[in-house]
Amino acid sequence: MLPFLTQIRFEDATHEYTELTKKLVKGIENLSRLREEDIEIGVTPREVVYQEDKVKLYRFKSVVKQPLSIPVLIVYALVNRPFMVDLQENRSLVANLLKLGLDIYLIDWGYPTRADRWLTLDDYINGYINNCVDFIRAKHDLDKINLLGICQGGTFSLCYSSIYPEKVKNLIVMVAPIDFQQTDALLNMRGGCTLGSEAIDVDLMVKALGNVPGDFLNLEFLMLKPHQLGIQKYLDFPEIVNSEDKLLNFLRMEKWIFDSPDQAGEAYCQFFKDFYQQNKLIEGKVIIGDKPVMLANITMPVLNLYAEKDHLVPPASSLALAKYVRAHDYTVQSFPVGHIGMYVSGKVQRDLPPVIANWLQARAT
Amino acid sequence: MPKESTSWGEISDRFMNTWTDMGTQMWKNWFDLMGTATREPTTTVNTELTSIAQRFFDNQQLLLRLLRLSFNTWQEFFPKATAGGDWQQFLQNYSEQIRSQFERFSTGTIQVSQDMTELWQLYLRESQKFSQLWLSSFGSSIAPWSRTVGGTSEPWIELNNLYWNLLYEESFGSLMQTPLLGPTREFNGKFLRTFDAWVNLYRASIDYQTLLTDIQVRSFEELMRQLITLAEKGEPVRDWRQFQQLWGRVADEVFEKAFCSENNLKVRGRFLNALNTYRIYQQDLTELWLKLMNFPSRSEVDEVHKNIYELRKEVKTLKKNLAKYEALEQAITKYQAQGGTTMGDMGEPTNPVSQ
Repeated sequence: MLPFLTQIRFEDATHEYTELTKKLVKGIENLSRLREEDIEIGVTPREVVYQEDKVKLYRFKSVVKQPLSIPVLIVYALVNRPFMVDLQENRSLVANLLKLGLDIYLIDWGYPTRADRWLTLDDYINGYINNCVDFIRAKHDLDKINLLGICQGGTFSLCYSSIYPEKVKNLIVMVAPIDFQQTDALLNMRGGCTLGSEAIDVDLMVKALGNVPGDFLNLEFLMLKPHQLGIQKYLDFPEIVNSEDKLLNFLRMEKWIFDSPDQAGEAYCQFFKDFYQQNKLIEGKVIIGDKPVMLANITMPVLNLYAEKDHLVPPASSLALAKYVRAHDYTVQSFPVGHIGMYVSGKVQRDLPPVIANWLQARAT
Repeated sequence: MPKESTSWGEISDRFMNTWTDMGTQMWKNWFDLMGTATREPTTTVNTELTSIAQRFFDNQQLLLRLLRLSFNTWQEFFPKATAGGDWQQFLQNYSEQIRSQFERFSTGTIQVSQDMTELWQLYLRESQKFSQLWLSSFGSSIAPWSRTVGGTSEPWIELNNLYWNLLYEESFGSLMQTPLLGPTREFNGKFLRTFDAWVNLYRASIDYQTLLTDIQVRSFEELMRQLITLAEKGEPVRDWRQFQQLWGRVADEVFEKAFCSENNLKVRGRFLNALNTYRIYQQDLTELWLKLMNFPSRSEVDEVHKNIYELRKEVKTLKKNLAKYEALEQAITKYQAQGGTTMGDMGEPTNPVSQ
């Protein structure tokens, strides 16, 4: 670089290089000790209580004697694995909620194969989610349970709650996209919120690929910040490699990010077209199976959690929910982090679980 | 055995044909002989010698046939001439035939000449079209070329598309979708469509690469701008890490801004859509080969999966309905055990099927 623009002196550069080398030497020692088991995610004890096709319903082992009588079902996105909510012992939303006395269930969508290409949103929402909810209702002998939808799972939870309001006691949505026509979000633009199939013809894609590969989605997410996520992150890697804790955190995140299941073709197609490209959710035009989704049917208490610096789901997209639901008890809470920060930020891990637990406990009767 | 009377016309025709055949055959044999003499002289020498002897014999036969025919002609003409017959008429007929053949030849030559002229005109006209396409593309490219100095990707993309549209689409491209002929029309059609899809992908890929390069250049310009601003503020970059963080942030901002533009998104969309289209055609082509080799194809496996999926869904619905009937039956049994008599006492019965 031109010398008058930078003041990287030779002695500073040499010192920086020496320090970096020391860190790398220590890092290589750390890396040589680590094994795949060390970066296992989803560490909180759990058991499969219900299974249908590739979908598993987990129940986490309660850590309090008398958990809240109404259990919480966490519905995660189809993109990436749901164990982001249970990343590691000291950074686990699930573990923190359990400590605060909640009874937690989680849906694991599994890894769709080509045989699942024909699964539709009807199968996911009226099928899997509904069956899991019914299972929990039957198990606890309850009419209604609490639902916590995260990201795309939040959108699914909204659809579900509008179709089956009689089965949902309280609804929590976290970093959930509602208004997809927010043009300040690159993800929406790339998805074709203004251009439709000219931006990407999803019918053609599904016809060509069957299922949409997880690797394609990874690439799309990386392309939202290609330099920071694709290059800079790895240039910074030597800076943290000497710290075992930081290294483990980094490797766990890498594992989670790139453990990306394929998306069942038909479901992806419908979600992309109806939600991203045609923004039908807020217009009340989404039909799941033969059931219309009307957000106005959502009258149960709603807690809307969003990230202020979210580059995937812009705050305006989540905040739009207030205009369309008819819940008299509607709470909104933000956190000063990005999309991923909602799961991994130490501050959010300290502040978020009590917000959820207190809000639910206040509405337990 | 009565002697057959042969007309002069027939005789002369046979004579001419034999003469032509003989000439053709002799030259052919001569060239074949010369050719075989130079081929593998040691390994196939016996076979070739036999072949040469046979052909020599055939030529002798041909010469004999010609001599016999000439002899017959003179045999017919000579008695007429010596007996004071109408040999003038005979010669007149002969001359008339020669004249008529020459006339036919000259008329044919004129016809051939006309056809050749027409052919050349056609060739020139069609090749002129190609030249015209090049000229048009050259003419149309002047404006975008002049804009390339502006430093944006649009004129480059415009130029790329201009050449493809004017030179490829207007010439070969339009033939790629044409219905074909013959037993291999299905395969050839799929092959041509795949090729066309590949050409479209190639074109879209160049556009997309041009766009990405432009974004890289812009991000570098923006980085320089930021570095100058920092230096002017007296806050120059002091270490490598700070530098690459600044570069990463600036580059991503430029990238994000670029892809919020609909024009750029369309370029990316064309690339993705062309990629998927190519993949579909490629699969079609592969499936032909799989079918030939008696292997299951992707489409067949998808069809099987779809059937299984639909059956599985049906079974789930049936199981659900069955469970409802069973629950209803248990409720009735329980109710009857408790002394109830009519269904009406239980309230409104549910219809499991309608649920």
